[in-house]
Amino acid sequence: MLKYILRRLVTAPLVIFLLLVITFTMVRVAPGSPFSSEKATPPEIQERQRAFYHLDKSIPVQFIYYLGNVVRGDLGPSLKYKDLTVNEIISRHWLPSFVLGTTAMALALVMGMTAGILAGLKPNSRWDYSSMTISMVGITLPAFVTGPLLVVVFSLKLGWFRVSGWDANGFSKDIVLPAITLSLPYAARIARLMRAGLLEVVNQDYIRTARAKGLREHVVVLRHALKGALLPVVSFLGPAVAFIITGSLVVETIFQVPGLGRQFTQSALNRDYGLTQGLVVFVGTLLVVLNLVVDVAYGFLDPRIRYD
Amino acid sequence: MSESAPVVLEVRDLKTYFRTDDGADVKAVDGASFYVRAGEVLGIVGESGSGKSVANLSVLRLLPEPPAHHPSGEIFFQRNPTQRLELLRAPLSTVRKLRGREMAMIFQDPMTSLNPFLKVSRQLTEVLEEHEGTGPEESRARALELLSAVGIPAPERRIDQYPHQFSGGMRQRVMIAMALMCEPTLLVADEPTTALDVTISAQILDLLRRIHGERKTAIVLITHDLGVIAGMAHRVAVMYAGKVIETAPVRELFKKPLHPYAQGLLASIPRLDATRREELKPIGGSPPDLRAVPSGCAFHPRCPHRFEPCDKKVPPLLEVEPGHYAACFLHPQDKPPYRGPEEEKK
Amino acid sequence: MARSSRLIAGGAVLALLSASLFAYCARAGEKPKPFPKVEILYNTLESHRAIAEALAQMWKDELHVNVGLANTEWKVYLDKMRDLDYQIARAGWVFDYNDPHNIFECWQTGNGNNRTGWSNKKYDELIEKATLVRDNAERWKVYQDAERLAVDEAPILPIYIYVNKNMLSQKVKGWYDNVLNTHPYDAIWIEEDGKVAPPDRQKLNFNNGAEPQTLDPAIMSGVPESRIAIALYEGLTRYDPKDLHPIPGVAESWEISEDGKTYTFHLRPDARWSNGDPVTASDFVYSWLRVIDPTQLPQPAEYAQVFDWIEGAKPVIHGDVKTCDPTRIGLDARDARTLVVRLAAPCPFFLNLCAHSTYYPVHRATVERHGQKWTRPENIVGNGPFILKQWELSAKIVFGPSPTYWGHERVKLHEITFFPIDSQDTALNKFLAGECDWLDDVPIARADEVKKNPCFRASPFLTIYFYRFNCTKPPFDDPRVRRAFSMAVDKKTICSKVERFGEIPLKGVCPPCGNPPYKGVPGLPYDPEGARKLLREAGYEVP
Ligand SMILES: Nc1ncnc2c1ncn2[C@@H]1O[C@H](COP(=O)(O)OP(=O)(O)OP(=O)(O)O)[C@@H](O)[C@H]1O
Ligand code: SF4
Ligand SMILES: [Mg+2]
Repeated sequence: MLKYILRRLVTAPLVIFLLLVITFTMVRVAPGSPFSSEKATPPEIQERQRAFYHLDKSIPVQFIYYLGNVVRGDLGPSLKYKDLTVNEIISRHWLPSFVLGTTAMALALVMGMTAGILAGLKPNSRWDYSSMTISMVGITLPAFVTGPLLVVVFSLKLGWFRVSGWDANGFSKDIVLPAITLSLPYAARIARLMRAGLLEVVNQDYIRTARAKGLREHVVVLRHALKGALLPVVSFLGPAVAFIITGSLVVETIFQVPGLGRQFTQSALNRDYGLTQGLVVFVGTLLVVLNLVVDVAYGFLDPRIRYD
Repeated sequence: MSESAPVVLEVRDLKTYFRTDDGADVKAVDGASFYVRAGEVLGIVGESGSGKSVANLSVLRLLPEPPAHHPSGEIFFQRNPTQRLELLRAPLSTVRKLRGREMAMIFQDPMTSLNPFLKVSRQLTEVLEEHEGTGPEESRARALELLSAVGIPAPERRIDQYPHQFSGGMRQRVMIAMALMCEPTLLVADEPTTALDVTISAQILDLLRRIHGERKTAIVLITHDLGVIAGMAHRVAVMYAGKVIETAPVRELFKKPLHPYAQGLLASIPRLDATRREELKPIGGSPPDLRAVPSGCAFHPRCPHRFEPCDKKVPPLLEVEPGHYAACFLHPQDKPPYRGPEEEKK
Repeated sequence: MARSSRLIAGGAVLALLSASLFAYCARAGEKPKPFPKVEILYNTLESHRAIAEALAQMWKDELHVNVGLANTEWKVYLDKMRDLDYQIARAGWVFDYNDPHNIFECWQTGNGNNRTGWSNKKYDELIEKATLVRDNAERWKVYQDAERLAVDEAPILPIYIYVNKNMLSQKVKGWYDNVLNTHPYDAIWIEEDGKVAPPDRQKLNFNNGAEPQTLDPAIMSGVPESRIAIALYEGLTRYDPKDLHPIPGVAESWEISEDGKTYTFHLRPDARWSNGDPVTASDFVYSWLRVIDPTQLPQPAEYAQVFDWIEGAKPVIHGDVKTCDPTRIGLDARDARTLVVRLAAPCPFFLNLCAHSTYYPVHRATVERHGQKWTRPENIVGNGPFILKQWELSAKIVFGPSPTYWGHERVKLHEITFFPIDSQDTALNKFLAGECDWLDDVPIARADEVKKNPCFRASPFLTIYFYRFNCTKPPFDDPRVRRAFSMAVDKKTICSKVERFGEIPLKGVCPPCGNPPYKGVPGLPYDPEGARKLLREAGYEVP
């Protein structure tokens, strides 16, 4: 196992490097310039701007220059936010996304697993139908519908929460509505995966064996069924966690959470090469690490899987 | 094996139907009766789909209800000399307490019947912990004892492994050890060797024989293999389309099968040899559709001796010869009907 | 030699004549051709699409022209405009200062904002001539002549003048509707129960709509940045909050020479930086040279060309002169409190420019000590009525009054919070929940709800919505076609049906602005019949 982790950690930089090569080239060949705006900037000045960001050099030269900085941990300047470096932008935006994402994921796990287990244990019961209908709604209702709905009810009508805002000092009740909005589709997915996993596992021979041993039903479920039923949820969680903690554009926009999610889209729209590349490196690293975590968790859950 | 030993399990007129989505019932077991005495081995044979497994899963109430339901039937289990329980109508919690403790079951496929996510130790000890509240150390000692009793080498090491680290035969040994953890009075072995290759299967049968010899557990042995029956069972019940159509002491049946289906079964075996394993050669024609069982004698579409009454009336199970029952119109119909072990005793 | 050249010239003239004659004959004998399919280019937003669809419908109905729509992403759209890779494209123009020149100069030949390929020598000359006229009423006449040319040749299709769509809490006072939608915070106060609210409740929450790209006035260019800049800095002049005419800022008075090319500013004795240092004439010289000389700023200034007017600056800004010799730039700090500025041409609106963010001063020592990091809350030094207290990225920026500001007594607001909310929906909800006191825009989708709200304030905004014709390619290289397309558009319908906030149809190319208000020329009429006639004249078949 240790060897496997080490090997994966060695290949990780390669993956990120490839990712970076692709992003680096893509942003530069994509049409549109970071310096164009509604009002024309004289070509000489645009030329100066290109020179300032080394965009006047050939792409390979730029890349080598950039890579040198990345290796030293410097993701370079942002082309849009002129007072800030990419390092600063990422370091000042990742925490809200992370806090919101982990909270939402925890919420999604609690809601999703409870609903999924209850539904999976009594398939085709009234409970099953209602929780699966709710989860279907959860999957299909996009955040841009649920979010504003929650705002209208809980902020405008009841006045329990602020419409938007984020307390920089950490946890506050500002997190409630965005976390719920963000968690709903995930909770719904988890509930369905959990239910399907349980239904699959419950029909396995070894569950019949467990019952034939006279174990009480909750022992059968918790000890014998749950681990196997969790596997699909765990493989979903890997990318989902990476996704959720790097921020959601929609939820962060609705609730104005100062997170990374919006930076991603905005940087692409602004042709902010530096920021886009920096985010790709950051999120790429996170993805690689989380995938590794999922693999390790898988091995932990399922003794049949061996890494060597 | 004495005729006077107490009856551990008696199944009377058991019907187990499965409700399907279109409302029709699959009549997997349709009025089967059999019993087994303490220390006795009852063999149940019959071709695939005849209801052997369903009947025995019904005994342990392991079938999900719905879709399974029981339009009729009684299942009596003698817990101890004074307590006799009817299982089919008993609360599931009562039945659950018997499972694993007083009646244990071994399944056909050892590859899938053990939980791949749990260590063998866990799967063994939990039986004792559940039923007797035994502490972990004692349970583990008992598990080790049984692992070596079923012939697992180096049990100290093997006990902390996962099922996938065991071969098929070894897994079946683990299953047997697991079934024996609480010293049950009844052991149901549902085709315990079908999934194993010849030599391994012989070893497992030897093990079962040895266990039976040492512990005198009552065993219901379900199998396709008449050789197994010949070498191990005291009495046989032959099932066809959810019914027991012939039952007799092993010798009687092999000597003189009365039902044309049983005759067919035996004819398909070239030699009676306990060490040779022979698959049942299917008799001409195909097994009945359990959603629409043929009228009268369910075997009539395939029966070479079929005659006038066969497709109109259901032949009752009658004691054609002493202790030898069959359900077929070929035999005199004035014989006493099957009444279960109590009647037989008279 | 002379003879042969004359011969060549004569030949050329003859050739030209015969060629045009030929072309004329060919056209006269030609059958009318069907009008080619045209495509409207617009970008991203739903509201742009609605207008493009309305136009397409009008052109289909009135001119029987087949019109397609092409939606592109913002940056791609900008490229296509710049490269003249379109046929008809939507456009907008937000005025930088309150003077017609700001829009008229756009249509000069080769102006970076022209983007139509239209070129008219007469027009170019008129715009140049206008910069020499010092009396505004006289200058307006020149612009009217120019506007007539532009209307006639129709390189653009003017559509409407925007309205400001402000939502303003009724407790906010000292805030006046104006055409630049600029609102100096030193004039604003909070009122409660008809009285000035106590200091601890003198708080203004405002949605600025975006995170500022920079707080360095030299390189800033957008509206959100300038809204912050007027709190942090002050130019030589500033805008009167009601009618926007330039009033004394750091300069308490000034003289303008007879030829309009030399401005002598007298700085206030009590003008101070937020660290207590006096604001001096050489601060302005330093700050302005910082923009003019490309080698001085760490980053190029996008708006550097607003300094083109300063004597000697233009060649430096545009790279014609590689090294900047400060003595050759028309800036002279005569003493700490006297700044003399010499202009290359008498810029009639120079005092307006002095209130523009690019003309704001920066604190030399701070800039030189901290480099790029000088705008951080812990470093920044400004000379405006407010100081930066807190900057939470993507969450809020908080200002408090500057105790060293010369007009400190006048300032009543105790705290200003800027939100960078880019979702208009969220912003409106925040306003409705009382978490925000002022929005400078509202979601169009919620027009009906908004218009019923007593806090909603619509007023004309010095920003125009128009379409560009690509004058370099057929069919829009023919002015008759452009005119026909313009005359087939019913702007009133677009204003009342598509945009619904009281937008004003724009007739000529310039909206009323400046002081005294510039009055534009009538513009092309809405005349579908005339439009069809024009298209037929241009050689196209119109059923
Ligand atoms: N849950 C169920 N729903 C519907 N039909 C079922 C169900 N379980 C079993 N059956 C049907 O009941 C019949 C009897 O099955 P059973 O497993 O008892 O046969 P068997 O005699 O054990 O056969 P084999 O030798 O193949 O194990 C089969 O036709 C099977 O298809
Ligand atoms: S009853 Fe008739 S059909 Fe059935 S087995 Fe006997 S002879 Fe054959
Ligand atoms: Mg079976």
